Amino acid sequence: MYKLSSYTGNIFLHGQICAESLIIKKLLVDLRAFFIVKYEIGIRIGEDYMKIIEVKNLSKDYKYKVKKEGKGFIYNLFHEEEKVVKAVNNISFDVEEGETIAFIGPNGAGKSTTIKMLTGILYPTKGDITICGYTPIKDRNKLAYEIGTVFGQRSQLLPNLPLTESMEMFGTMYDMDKEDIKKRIEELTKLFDLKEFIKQPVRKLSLGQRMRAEIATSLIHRPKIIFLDEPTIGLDVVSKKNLRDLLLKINKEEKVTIFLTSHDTEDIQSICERCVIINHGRIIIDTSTKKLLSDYVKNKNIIITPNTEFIEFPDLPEGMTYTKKSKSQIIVLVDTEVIHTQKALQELIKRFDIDDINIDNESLESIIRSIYEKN
Amino acid sequence: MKKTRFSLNIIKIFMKNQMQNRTNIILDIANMIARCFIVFLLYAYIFKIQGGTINGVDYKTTMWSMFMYFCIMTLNLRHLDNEIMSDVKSGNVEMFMNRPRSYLTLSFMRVLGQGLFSFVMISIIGAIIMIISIGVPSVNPVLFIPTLILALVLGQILALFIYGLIGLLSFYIQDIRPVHWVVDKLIMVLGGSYLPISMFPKVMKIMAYASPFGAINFASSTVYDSWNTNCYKMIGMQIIWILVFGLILFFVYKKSKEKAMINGG
Repeated sequence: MYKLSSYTGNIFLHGQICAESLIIKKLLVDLRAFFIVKYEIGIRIGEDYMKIIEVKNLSKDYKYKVKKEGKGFIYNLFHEEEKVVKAVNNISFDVEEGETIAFIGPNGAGKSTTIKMLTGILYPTKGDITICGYTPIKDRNKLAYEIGTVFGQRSQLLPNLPLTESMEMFGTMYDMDKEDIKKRIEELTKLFDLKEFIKQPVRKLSLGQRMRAEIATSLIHRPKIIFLDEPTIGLDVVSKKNLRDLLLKINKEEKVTIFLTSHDTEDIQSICERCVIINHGRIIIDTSTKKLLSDYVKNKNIIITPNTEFIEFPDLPEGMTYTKKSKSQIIVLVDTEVIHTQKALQELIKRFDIDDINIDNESLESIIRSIYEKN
Repeated sequence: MKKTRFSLNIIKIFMKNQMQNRTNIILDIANMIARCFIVFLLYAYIFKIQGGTINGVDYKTTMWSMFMYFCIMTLNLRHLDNEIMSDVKSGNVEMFMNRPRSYLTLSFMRVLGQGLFSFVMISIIGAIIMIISIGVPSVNPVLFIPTLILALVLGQILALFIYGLIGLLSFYIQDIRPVHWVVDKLIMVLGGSYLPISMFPKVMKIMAYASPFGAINFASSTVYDSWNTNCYKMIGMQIIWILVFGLILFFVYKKSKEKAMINGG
């Protein structure tokens, strides 16, 4: 009691029991408040941690020398003009843990440059990047343990040796012990169905098998994020589908955040929940893939099949154009900003003897194309 | 410890990778034997017309020195700069720049792994042929073996640093081949490829012993009598050059990473 009184001040010195119980109550309230604050801070920290990638005002300039036309070699040798290309221009975005994000844009838009800055390969000209709490350039080595990268047009595998050797090499590079490497290879073999070709020299694998192997190798050290730069480039439809399924599987089963660039809209639609569209180095759209499909659809295709055969193709009202005219099928493109779909249907029913009608939304590819064209 | 394990693992894996090209290894050995045979025949003739010794060095010692030089060359560390250049040009450098180990260390280990098997094979087979054909070199074995190993290791570290430095130039200039050519020829000439160092005129001899290019191949001087007196000085020289080039390499590599430009970003 005496000790407690020394903590709680004058009231205890008076020895009043009611005051003592009041103090204990107060203490408990304070303790509770303390833990609530702690808890709130914890949640805040938790929330910050949920953001696995944070990019603020990121820019990258490339400089190149241009020779002045009409001037001689000697003049240009000493008076070369320097031009600056803004490959990435002041972009900001966040990615949450476990998200699947597509970073898309036409050639030269700045998507690969962004990926390379995020992974610590290129130095940004301006801006801040934080990935898993690390700054890629400053903490390149620490960050390497948290990320995996796959560049569709390059290979990290040793061509003459079986895949297991490359996996072991990268496992050692990431400080994994022998047992752990062995266990992880077994896990990845099962997950990626590598058993049939894991002992074959890499140069004898098909492109589809090699890409599976590349992704599996990138996951050897259990990264939190995987950056994929055009992973399905050059693959046939079956291999593309298999690869997409695998990426979804690793996102679900291993909770790996997927950051993907691709020109294939099927990759985006089937893998990514979110789309960031970049053009001329700037982010022009950052939205969910679902929202992109619903908000940016302004055209619909109405496909009609005749009861007998179409012979005449009468003029259509404004906002409706034929995209296919044949005896057995007509496809009409409807601009929903000009004419409502319901009205368009009525117009078609008035003009044709129809057996069947189908309405298709505009594809993601044409949505993205029209966004590129606008920007 | 982890770094050593990683380095040894990389050497082992690239050695395995290289061993898959058995035909290349056989061709390397055949090439080495052919070169040695031609050079040895030529020198046998020259020594014969000079009365058995040149500059106080006999035929056997000269041939052992030349043989050592050829063996060192089979390590192929001189390919390092070209490998770095092709990685930078093709953009493959990006596959290794975001790893927890430095790209430069990885390149060193890769090129070592690629040449080590040929080097060991050729050294063993060649040494046996040499012993049978011209006999054991007249050296002090107590000093010769440890200093040979030391001079060889230090020389190859220096070679890695010099060729690594040339390789890193590809981050700044488009084609490093002219620089490679000049440095490579200096290393060959001052290392005793065309003419054993013992036959060099005085100025050239000083250049061979004082320049970093000659220091790469000091191991081939271990068979000379002068090694017994000069070995500590020469090993000291190698260490100084390693420190100088190591420091330059460290700063150039740091700057090169900032200069990286890769296709499609």
